[in-house]
Amino acid sequence: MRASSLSRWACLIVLACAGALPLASQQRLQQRLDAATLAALRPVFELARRDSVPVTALEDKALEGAAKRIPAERIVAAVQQLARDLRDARVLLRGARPSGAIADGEVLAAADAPRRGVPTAEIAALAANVPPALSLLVPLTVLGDLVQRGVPAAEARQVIQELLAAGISPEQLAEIPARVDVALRVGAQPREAFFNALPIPVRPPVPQQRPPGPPSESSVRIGPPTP
Amino acid sequence: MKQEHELLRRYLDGELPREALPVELRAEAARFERLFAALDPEDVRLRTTLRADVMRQIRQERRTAWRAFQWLVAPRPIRVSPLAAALSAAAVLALVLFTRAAPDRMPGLPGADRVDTRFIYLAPQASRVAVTGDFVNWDPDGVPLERRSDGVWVAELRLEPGLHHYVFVIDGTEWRPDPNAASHVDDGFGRRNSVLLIAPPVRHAS
Repeated sequence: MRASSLSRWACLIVLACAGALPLASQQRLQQRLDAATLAALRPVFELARRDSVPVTALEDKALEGAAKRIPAERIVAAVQQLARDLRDARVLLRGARPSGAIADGEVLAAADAPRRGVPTAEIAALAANVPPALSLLVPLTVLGDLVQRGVPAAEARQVIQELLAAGISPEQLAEIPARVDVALRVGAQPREAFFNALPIPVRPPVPQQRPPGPPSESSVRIGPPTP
Repeated sequence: MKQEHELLRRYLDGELPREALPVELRAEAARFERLFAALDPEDVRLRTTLRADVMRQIRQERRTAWRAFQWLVAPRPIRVSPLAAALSAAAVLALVLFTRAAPDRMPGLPGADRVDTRFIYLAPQASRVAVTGDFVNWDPDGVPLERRSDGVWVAELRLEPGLHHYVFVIDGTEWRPDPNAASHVDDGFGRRNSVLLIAPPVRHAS
């Protein structure tokens, strides 16, 4: 084959590859969203890409809105809100884990958790205390599951940390909420169901003692003095 | 031995007089002196055109790089036969289809880390039940469930580990969360999605 022919083929292949890759990402949106919605979403995706926020999750949210026949302006608003949530979650995780990569799944789980009732302080504490070698995906999701079932967030978080420190696998951790459900169905209280569902016995965390000293304002009894 | 060489070196560098050398090294020193004397300084003189030659070579290389750059940026007609054009179009199409059908978005494709996941929904009156979610690009048609006895609908998908959001689509119109899901989350549109967590398989470091 002559050199000119080779270079011609090389040009064609390079052009094909360069064009096809971004096309694939855009195509799945273009097929389902109108041009105006796509134009409104493009800056949100660009900003997210710049901030290392998982763009696929935002695209998924837009596709979900289109599938559910949600009006365009509400789709854009939901995607913008999700982008904010994901950005906040990423900042929160980065603050708790200053080094090492943060996986998209971990950001998604950290963004989901507050919507399920987990205080951000507990998310940060879990992220800071789980060994960096372990993914936060399962611990954060299980924490959300437990809080949704009525288990106190701080207690659930401390127990999850202890279980991970004891070498419990993510699969074992992920099974806990289903076991809690079984106990809840037969009438157990959430906290009791939780401690009975653990794969290894864990002592309930001791509530933090108040340092000795004068009573705080919140514990001062208001009303007539007791005789 | 090392010390003797050191003395020779110092003598040859002019740091020591010949008398300072031990007698047994003086013959060696004399041999080196003869060798140096035999060297003709004219032979190692650089030719006068060397500088100009080097600069010419550098300019020539620069010109080659510039020519390569010009070749890259210059618009030029590409002559392609119909067959080559058809093959290229087929390659582009195949690439697009391949990237669209990326394995992490297609249920049922074999994958080393994928986990068999069973979706079950009880709907005795329904004529069609499908599951849709982020794992199928929120396709409104979703993946159809198979009807079994007593109105139980079942589908098995091989899904990637991770956090998935999904719902069931009943008769193509009703979107319902999974009553058996581990948890649910607000979908941002005023409804609820079911949450499915698939724990990643544990990889032990060797």
